Amino acid sequence: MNQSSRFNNALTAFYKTIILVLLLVTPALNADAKWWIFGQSDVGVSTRYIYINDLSYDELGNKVTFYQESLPDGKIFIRGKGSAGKNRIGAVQVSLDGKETWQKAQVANDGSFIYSFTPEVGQSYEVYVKVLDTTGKSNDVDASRKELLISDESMQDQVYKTLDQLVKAYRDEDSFAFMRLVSDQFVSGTAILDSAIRNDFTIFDNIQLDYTLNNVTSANNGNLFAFINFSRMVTSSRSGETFSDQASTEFIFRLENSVPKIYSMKSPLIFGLSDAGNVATGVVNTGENNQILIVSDSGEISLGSVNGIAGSGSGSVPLPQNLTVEDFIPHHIISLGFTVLPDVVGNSDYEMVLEEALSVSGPWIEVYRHTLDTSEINNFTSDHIAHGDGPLLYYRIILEKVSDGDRSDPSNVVSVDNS
Amino acid sequence: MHCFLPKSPKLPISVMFLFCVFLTPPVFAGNLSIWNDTSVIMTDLSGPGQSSSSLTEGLRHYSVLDLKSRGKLSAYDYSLGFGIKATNDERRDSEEISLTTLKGHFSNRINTLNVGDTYESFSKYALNTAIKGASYRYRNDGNKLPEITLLGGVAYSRWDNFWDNDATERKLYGARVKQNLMQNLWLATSVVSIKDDDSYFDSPLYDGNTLTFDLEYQPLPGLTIIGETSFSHIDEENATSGVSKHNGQAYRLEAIGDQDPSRVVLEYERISPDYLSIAGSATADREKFKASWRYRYTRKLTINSAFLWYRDNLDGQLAVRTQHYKPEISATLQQLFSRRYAIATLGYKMDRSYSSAVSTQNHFVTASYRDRFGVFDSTTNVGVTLYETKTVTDNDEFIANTSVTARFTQGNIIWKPAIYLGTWRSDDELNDDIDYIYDYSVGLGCDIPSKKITSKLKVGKHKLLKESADDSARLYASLDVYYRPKLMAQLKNSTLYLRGLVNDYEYTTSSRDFRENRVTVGFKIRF
Repeated sequence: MNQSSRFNNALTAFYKTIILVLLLVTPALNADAKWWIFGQSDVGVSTRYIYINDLSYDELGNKVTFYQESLPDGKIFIRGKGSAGKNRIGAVQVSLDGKETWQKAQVANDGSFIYSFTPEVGQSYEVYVKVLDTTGKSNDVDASRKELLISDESMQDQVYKTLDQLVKAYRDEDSFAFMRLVSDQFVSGTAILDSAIRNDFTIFDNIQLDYTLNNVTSANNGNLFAFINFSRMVTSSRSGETFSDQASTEFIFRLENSVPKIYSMKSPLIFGLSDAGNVATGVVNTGENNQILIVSDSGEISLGSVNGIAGSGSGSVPLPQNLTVEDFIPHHIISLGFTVLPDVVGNSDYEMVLEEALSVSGPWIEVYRHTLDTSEINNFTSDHIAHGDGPLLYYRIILEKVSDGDRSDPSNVVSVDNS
Repeated sequence: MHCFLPKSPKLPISVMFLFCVFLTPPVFAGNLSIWNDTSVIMTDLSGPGQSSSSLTEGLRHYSVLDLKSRGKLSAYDYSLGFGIKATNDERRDSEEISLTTLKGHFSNRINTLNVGDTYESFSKYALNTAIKGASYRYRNDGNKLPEITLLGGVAYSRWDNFWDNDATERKLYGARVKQNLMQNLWLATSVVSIKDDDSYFDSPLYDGNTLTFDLEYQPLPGLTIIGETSFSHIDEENATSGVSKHNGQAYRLEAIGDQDPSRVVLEYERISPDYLSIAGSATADREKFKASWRYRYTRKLTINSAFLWYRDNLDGQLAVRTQHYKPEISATLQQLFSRRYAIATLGYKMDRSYSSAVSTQNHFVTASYRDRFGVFDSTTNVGVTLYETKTVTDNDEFIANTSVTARFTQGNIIWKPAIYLGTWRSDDELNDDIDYIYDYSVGLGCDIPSKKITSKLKVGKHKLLKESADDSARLYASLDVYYRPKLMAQLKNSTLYLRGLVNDYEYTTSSRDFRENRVTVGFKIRF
């Protein structure tokens, strides 16, 4: 792709993002919008934003549990910014006991404030934030209510609870219960994961899953890294065959209303493996080379190894391109040529697989397989699946890694008239 | 890190010993907590098809020990963590004894140092994985200097990779500078460098850098705009195809409006095919637009709707481009028919994908109803799914299940009976096959709060009836008993437990039959 088209693509995307922002901000600026209540900041006193230990107030529910071990220096920090239109912010007060008593927060000239306290484990705090301007007007104090619970349970306990519920929902094939434990911000998209696990439930039966949690490490923004080992057994609902595997994998969880929810997953996947390429972001680096369950696009289950970076096409298998018909005699022979990276030709690690179909949309049938000693197929007998005159025949090439069966994406499709 | 931790099979023991020595002084000065879960598992497998089982036969043990210590050293708060795991069940871990956690955290509110297990979440694209190494963060809310984070280490998944079971040595260094430009706007720049050594099992090696800018802006109360753009320059070395260079870009813009009664999220993302995210989270070769709207129409009625579109082949490097559309809508109504505990949900999702090579259209219709009738809690789910992949699949599925649980108190005993019934029917019109699954079970929970005992017994059967392959049936039974004795005043959450499990698999082909019997006895202690 040349620089000019890259620039055009970037420019197009830039315009799209501008349009998106305008689409969003325009209704937001309309204070009379019935379903969208904004603009309170222009009149009266309000809080423009509040954070509790780097978590946005707006993103938290009414009840929030903080875990002692995740508190920075054992403290809760409430920081935010007040707004009073043309007036200045005079004071900010915080109540921890349901408006019984009020504590002063430190306030800067621009209305930003910070308040911190060291909570007691097992205690609950009914928090209100009162912002006062210099004329004594205050914000809607009741709207700032949060109930904070301080738990001495470890983050590891919380991850255990979430994983137990996820495993149970997955074994019970309950997509409702499962998706409740997936973050709205799931990196690969909640809709993609939802479709993938529903497909898992169609493809798998009798799911048996056992896991052990190795390590949980928390980041300062509330994200949690978890490394686990798992073993599982499933029955293919198509073939009735039973498959089992074991491996290690990594999750990132995101705390939402005090519950760790799945934010991203790496290959090998435990959940959503029927669309592994789109669901997983990355591959674990453990040095293990276990045979793990792999689900093909057509829903067939096999055992193979995970390699390369999931989600970046077909990993390290080169793509065959520019498939062309060199020669063709109806009902007799066909010769094809294609291009691929020069150093791959002659490499015994790969095989070329020729597929034939009666329609461009398939189904595709493997009709020829050979070591990749050349990028040509000469005088191959055609007509494997067509009998009689008439139909067009379609061909495409796929490269397959001999060691693990990893496949490239298909080449372009060529057709010949078999009349 | 290797200079500190040379490869040696004896290292685990020495590291553990050194860490214990290191931990001992602060342990007595600070606040120590210990968590231990130890169990013995006896598994018996029988039948000709027992090799299919995912359980390990014989007597196995499994034990996890975590030590945590908190305290104060001069102006610095610290916390230390150390964890080990021991098992002789290879399916649970390939290592008999392994170090699971080794970390230290020191902070005086302005300067923070993490060593050992370190997880700094820079941003979605830049860095979103844990490392074994160290990080330092400077953050002072009292002045206008930027927040600075530095880290370095090796992106191994487990500590064992330092001395055996070797993985690719992925050295990772990063820096992030975050500056508040205004009180409601911050901007950050992150640089992450990766250098791989020692390829295992032909995994590709990566060497390169990622430069990322991200920002968050809150122009109005309830409205947040997040932007991120990232440039990666990474060389990928494959054993067969040599070195290939990947210079890619990723960017996203997200707007979140959250104020009752609505929550609206709009997101646009474009990740070029050559953008490799080794330490962050991104799916290459994707252009995506997502919109979701949760609208609380009344206190009782909430409507969720969402739309996702994405496509690949952004640079025309593939033979075909696949487009995906996934719209969905659902409504949740509480207190239906004026019943206090009734919650009904009705949802529809479509999953459409098409290209010149494939065309798929799936429809999911689901309904659920939850209610309470006296002492009985009931949940019923019904779903219909239509799958259509042109010329490959054309089938429909029906799924329905219902569960009823109850709770009776009789003196000091709480009884919790449960019944579950479920069915699934799949009609494959192309192959003219109809398959069924039936699942039914009964359970009985028995809690004695005064004795700190909870227990649950469950028995059921799961049958898969295939028209063109082996039928299978699994008869299962499980028993879980937990006893929380008050042993010592300082012991919290100590639990003794007993778990039993029986799975009896039967197939049409009897040579595949097998049976799993497993008994687990263990205890958990925390103090």
